[in-house]
Amino acid sequence: MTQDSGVTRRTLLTGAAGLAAFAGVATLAGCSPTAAGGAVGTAKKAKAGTVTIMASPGEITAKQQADFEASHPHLKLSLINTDPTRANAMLAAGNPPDLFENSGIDVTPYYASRGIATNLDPYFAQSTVIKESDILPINDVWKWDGATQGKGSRYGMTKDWSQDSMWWYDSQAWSEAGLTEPDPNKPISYDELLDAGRKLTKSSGGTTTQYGLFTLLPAMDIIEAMAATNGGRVLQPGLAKVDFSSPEVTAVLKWFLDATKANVSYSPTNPSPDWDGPQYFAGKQANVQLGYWFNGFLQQTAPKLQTTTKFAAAPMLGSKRVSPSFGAVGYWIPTKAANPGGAFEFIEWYCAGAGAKVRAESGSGLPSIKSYLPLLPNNTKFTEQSLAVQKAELDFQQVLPLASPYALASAMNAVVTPAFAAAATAGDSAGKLADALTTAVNAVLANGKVQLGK
Amino acid sequence: MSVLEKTDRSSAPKPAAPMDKVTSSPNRKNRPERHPVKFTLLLVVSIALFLPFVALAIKGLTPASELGANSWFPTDWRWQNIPDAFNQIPYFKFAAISTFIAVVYSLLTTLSSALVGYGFARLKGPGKRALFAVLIGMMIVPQIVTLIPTYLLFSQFGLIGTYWPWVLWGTAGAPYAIFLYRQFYASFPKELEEAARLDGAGRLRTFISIFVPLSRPLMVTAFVISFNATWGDYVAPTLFLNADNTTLAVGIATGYDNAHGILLPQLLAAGSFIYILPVVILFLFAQRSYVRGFVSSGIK
Amino acid sequence: MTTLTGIRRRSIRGARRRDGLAFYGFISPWLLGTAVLTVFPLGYALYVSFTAWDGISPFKPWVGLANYAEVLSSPDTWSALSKTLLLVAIVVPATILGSLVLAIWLNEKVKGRIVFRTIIFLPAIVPAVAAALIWKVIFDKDSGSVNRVLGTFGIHPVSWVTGNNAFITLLVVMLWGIGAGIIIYLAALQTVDAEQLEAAKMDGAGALATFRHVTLPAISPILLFQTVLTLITTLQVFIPALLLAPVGVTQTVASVPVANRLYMVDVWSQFFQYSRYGYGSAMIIVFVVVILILTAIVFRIGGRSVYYAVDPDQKGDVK
Repeated sequence: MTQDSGVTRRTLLTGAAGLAAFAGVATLAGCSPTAAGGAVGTAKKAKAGTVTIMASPGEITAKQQADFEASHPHLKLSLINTDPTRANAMLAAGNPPDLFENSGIDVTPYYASRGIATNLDPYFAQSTVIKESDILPINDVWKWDGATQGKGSRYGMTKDWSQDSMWWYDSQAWSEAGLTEPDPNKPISYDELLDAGRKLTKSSGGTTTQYGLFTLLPAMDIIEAMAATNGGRVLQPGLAKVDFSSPEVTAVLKWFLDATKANVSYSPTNPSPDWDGPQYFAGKQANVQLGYWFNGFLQQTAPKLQTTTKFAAAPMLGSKRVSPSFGAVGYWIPTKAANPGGAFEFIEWYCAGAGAKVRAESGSGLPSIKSYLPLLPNNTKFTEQSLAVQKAELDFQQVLPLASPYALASAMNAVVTPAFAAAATAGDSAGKLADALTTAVNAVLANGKVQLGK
Repeated sequence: MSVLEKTDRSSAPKPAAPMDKVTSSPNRKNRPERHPVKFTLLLVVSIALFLPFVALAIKGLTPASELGANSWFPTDWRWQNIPDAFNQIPYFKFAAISTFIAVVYSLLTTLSSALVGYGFARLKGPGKRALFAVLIGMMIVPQIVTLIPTYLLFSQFGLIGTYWPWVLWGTAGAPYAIFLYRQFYASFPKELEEAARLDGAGRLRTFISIFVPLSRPLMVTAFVISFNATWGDYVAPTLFLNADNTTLAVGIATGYDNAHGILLPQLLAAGSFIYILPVVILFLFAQRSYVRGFVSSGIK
Repeated sequence: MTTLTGIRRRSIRGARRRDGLAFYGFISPWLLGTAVLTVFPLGYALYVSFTAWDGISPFKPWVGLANYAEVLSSPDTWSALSKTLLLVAIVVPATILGSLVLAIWLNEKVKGRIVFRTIIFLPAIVPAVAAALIWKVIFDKDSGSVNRVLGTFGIHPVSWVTGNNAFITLLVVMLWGIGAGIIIYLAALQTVDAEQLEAAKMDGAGALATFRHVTLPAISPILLFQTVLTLITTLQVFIPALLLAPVGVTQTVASVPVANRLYMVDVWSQFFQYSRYGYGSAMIIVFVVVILILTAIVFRIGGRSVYYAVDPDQKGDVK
């Protein structure tokens, strides 16, 4: 249970105060966060007319829009670019879009616990497009029961996804450095990876021409994923506290500090001018830590590299094989949506229907349903290799405790990254960094509790 | 009436007066003067300020696969980036919307700010000092804090997705522009009104027939500044317009992503170059108003 | 049509009332606009500053003065404020003087001045997203232009966007926009009396003396304007700091280096990274008070040395 009746009364009073202060603006009506799990309503029928979607620019192309409108003649799409201020303003004004695009991993506990997201169980139950047995386990990230992500009712659906701690390497760079190429099917250990990174790094006159290791981004997701291979966890049960000081987690921090010190990669103390893709294409990095979606991107942007690039299983720090997703971007319907029925028809089409089919065929991410897995590209040596590795990896997908009702990942990472940079610059020990991180992230979560009226 | 006409008439031929003196003076010539030192310094400053644009231009002609490379120039110039930049987003539609909003807003705000600025500079009324403090206060409040409530306000009146907010903002005038006009009008000689008053012209007539013509350089400046601010504004269109009727600034900032949400910097660079052209052209035109002594000679 | 004697006959009170009416008539567009467009948003912001609103929830838990207490007691506030004031101390004088000097030169009939004016003004037009690209190309440690140039002199690559260097880079980025103000100065310089300038030259006054005795008094109201405007905008700078910050895969700001955590950067981060709309609003309101005080000081000092033909603050009758 994340809410109690005290919250309701207090927030109602607050809302009343707000109304009194700004009489006439009906949109300020205070209402309370819904009880855990949210009210299970009934599936609403699609209203003929508009479905408004807030999505990242470029996400829904003009062609996709036309295709959807052709197959759903009673619906028209109206697009709004993702913008946090606009999203909040629209929610505050009581006229939110019918659909939001977000990372399911990050937002599910946060939005569901605030009563903002519609419980989609009745919609899934009546759907003729999406069969329960066809839904891949990745969609569990959209489940929330009031205490645990991955359990309870569905609040959204993933459009496409990847296992984001997997990695890609340039096999030519390995042979040039006189190294034996790793076995892409067998997870490499992070220590081996760092050793190889040292040998793969090339520099001249203080300028690094090739980094041997992908960009180090010590954020909540990768720390949690690495800790999981050690059998540890950062975000504690209840999702209101973190603890970085267990040996399983401290080992992760130590690896990051060592790797940063080794200076064989971009890192918070040596920031990259761009993300890893362009750096890899330009030969400035020997590998990248990105999921399966990079397959499609590489084919489109730097097709020459298909001959030497290989996809590999997620590295491990400990001995437990865990390979989570950090995003699982998809769609959810706000409770105040004007056309939830129409919105769900878009989810069906885009995440599981004809719209999803086209994207699966391009190899830009994994589909959300099982029956589209065979559509993934498998026609060249490159796509064949990456698909084989990906298929084996599916067994190790797991919903990790990456998100909290009390803070979005962006809030936690906003303290993690600078604290890490400070510790790396000062040469602090992993233990000291662990304590600093625990204090800082717990403060963020404590603020989040206050925001929920706790 | 007669005084007004006199003032008007006197403003036209007068600029010639100092020039007469110049041409008649034996050691002064009416042609571009030589300023070798100033010229050299301006050249150095201009080159320094321009180099970043060269970097942008190079980026705009680089193929995607070479973006991260350690080299001055791409091995293979990709001119196709320019048409791609036009095709990736509805470039000309957005440009037309930007132009419309910027022209409407700038025209309105240039005029209404002049009116208000004149009031603050040359008229008296109870509470004027306090209201001026409020005006300065409005300049100070950061936009970030008023975004959501402004949305709530416009949403109440169904103005989201329309261009009415720009009309309203324009009509209300911009605090910084009002302040600028106030400072400008306060430096005009006192006699201007006296002459008009003796003639019995009302305040508004005095303003329109004497002050407006004399403030052409300033009005042009105010227009260029507000045009540039609206043309380049990303925040308000994001908040108040939708993806299909937004401005070029938003189109540029958000449209050059691929389906993965990953930025295509080469297209952004190419698109940005053309994006700044309208303001450059406007600025070139505006310069014709910066004629030495335009205002002072008109006042005499 | 009123006659001269008619005006004289009217009581002073009547004249004052008419003046007052005229004043309110002239400022009415702004006054009404402010009442309609800004009173509610400001009130709302003030209300939010007393809550722990997360920006997205339909409820706003009331926390009284807790946000203000935290703003005033947090060491982050004071460190951000001191960095901001340091930035202001460097950028404001440099910008005001720099753009004034440039404008004066550009007001002369220098060869190619139209091109010079345009190039110097150009940085003011560049969209922020393009500027971000530019600075990455220039300041990147390994492939950036600056380090490549330094490299030809055998200087090892410098990390420009981390540690204390980030602040220097921020200054460079801000001073790139020095020419934005020339457009206002160019307009102001047209108010300078050409005859007086000519007379001063005839009297054999040097350029500096002419500037001091003729140009400066004439443009002093605009100088005050520029000082106030530059002060306010520089205090509120945050976008250049964000543009220089390292980004993640999705182009989000990972973290701004400590040296560049200016006050508004912290505010931005409270709003958009921590979703603390209540606390962020309180930070802004405290900041508005600080800026008001600084602006009042500028008006106090500047007011004495500004030459107005008609003092806009003067009390009493205008005639």
